[in-house]
Amino acid sequence: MAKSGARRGSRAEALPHPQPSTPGLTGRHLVLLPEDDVRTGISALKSVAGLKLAHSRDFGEQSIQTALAEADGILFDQLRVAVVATPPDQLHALNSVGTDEGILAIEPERVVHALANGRIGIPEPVPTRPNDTATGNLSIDYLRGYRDGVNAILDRLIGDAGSRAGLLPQAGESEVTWGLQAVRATTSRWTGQGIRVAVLDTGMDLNHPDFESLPIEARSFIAGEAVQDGNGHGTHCIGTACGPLRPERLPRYGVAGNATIYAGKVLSDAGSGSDGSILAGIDWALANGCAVISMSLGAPVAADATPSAVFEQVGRRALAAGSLIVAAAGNSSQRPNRLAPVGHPANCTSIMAVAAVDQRLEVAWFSCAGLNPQGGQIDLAAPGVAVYSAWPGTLYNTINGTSMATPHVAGIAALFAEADPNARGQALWARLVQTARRLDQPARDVGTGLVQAPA
Amino acid sequence: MIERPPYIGGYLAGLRMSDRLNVVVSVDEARLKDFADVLQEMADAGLHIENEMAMLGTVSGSVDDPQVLSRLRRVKGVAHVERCRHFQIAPPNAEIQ
Repeated sequence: MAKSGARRGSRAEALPHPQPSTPGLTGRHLVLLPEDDVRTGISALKSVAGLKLAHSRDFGEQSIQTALAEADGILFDQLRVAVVATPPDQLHALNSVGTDEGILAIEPERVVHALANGRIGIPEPVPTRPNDTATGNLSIDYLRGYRDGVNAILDRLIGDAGSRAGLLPQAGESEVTWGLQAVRATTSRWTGQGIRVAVLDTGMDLNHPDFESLPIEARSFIAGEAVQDGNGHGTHCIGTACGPLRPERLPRYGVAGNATIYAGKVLSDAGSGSDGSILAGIDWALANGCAVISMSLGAPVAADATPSAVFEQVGRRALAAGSLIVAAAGNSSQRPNRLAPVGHPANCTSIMAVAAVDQRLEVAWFSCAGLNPQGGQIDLAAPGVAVYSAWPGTLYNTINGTSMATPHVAGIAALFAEADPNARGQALWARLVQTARRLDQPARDVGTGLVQAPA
Repeated sequence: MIERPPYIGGYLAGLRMSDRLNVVVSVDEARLKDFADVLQEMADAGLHIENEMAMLGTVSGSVDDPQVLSRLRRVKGVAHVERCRHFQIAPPNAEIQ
């Protein structure tokens, strides 16, 4: 599901008043309140329709029916959605309240049924990486064959043939990295021409032969350190996002070879930085009209942590200004035993969180998972295992991490931005998540799937 | 009685540094157009401003005393005040980055 901030778009036209007997509807209504100003919405409900709300946080174990018996409606505090029992005349009055007066949308509440066990029973997923005790006497190959067979049958039954089958065509990496093949960067006609991509990291090896002829704007936000990358991480990430279409030595490893690189040094050569330097880098990227901002950095967060309100706002302002911020989900998991939540700042709803997958398109063992609510989800997955790219000194290096997955998404975002001048900010976000290749993995781990280049 | 050495130089500087809190502050939509004024009011409230980010409507800086934080939060137009988080990526030779 796309994560998005509060949107004050135009509300749908006044809905017909459903009678309680209308099939499929409960007769109650859902009212969407502004994320950043719930109070105005609550007072509008009270002043316009005389509705008094109970708060979901006060009704831990009680049912919604109990709550509704004592109040006119219930506000789901975390969702900023109220469920109200409204007579038709009050509904009419509520529909006339503007989106800027505290009510973003009103719609009839639907009756939702639990799915019964239908004729096509979908079996429990076969473990993709069975441990020894689970496999028993069965070989891994046997189980893989079983899984592929089950998947093929399900694909036919569900009518989703072809899109779930996991493996990539078995091409080598002699000409193009496996990652670029997986995201279909090589078959896209777009190259990021005219699009500015900011990579906020440890800087850039400005002497790297592959980048000598490419346009690079660079700036250091680390006191006392030049842009020149004394770490390697930044050069590797820039290489993946914007490396040349024809490097000195094959394979090709860069997605958007004609994009304009904005290398912002927000992490020191020792790999450390702070919120302050990162915000300074984002501000610089925005001021320079970068449509894409790639951040292969993060700090681990606790389970149930709420995202940074400052970065949430920053992400929203960036989207409004036409810049998409893409961030690494983090590497704190130790699968299959331990899943760690998406880190800061990728856990903001307004910042896209990228998970890592391996060559089999399975989530990487270290990749963080969408465990926390309110933005802590994974949005997309990209290649993050055995990623070959540019490196200072040795020229090339092959490493792993959600840091390596993130610039794949940033590069693809640049291709979409080039293909459509209207694909900026939230629209660019939507394009990326809607066109992702579905993977045979939980959304908790890979979001909507593997990022794909526009044809 | 042994006289205590005067608190000068590195010791004092070090103490002050560790007592300082680094913060990031965002300004709300309503006062974005008065960004410079809000900055001034934040400085008056005790914020040592390091970086002004006008595009984002955010500021980074530090305060000498945690009590300044509540004063800062009361400045009209200040949306959020957060302690500055630190980032550390893996060393260059690490397998997972």
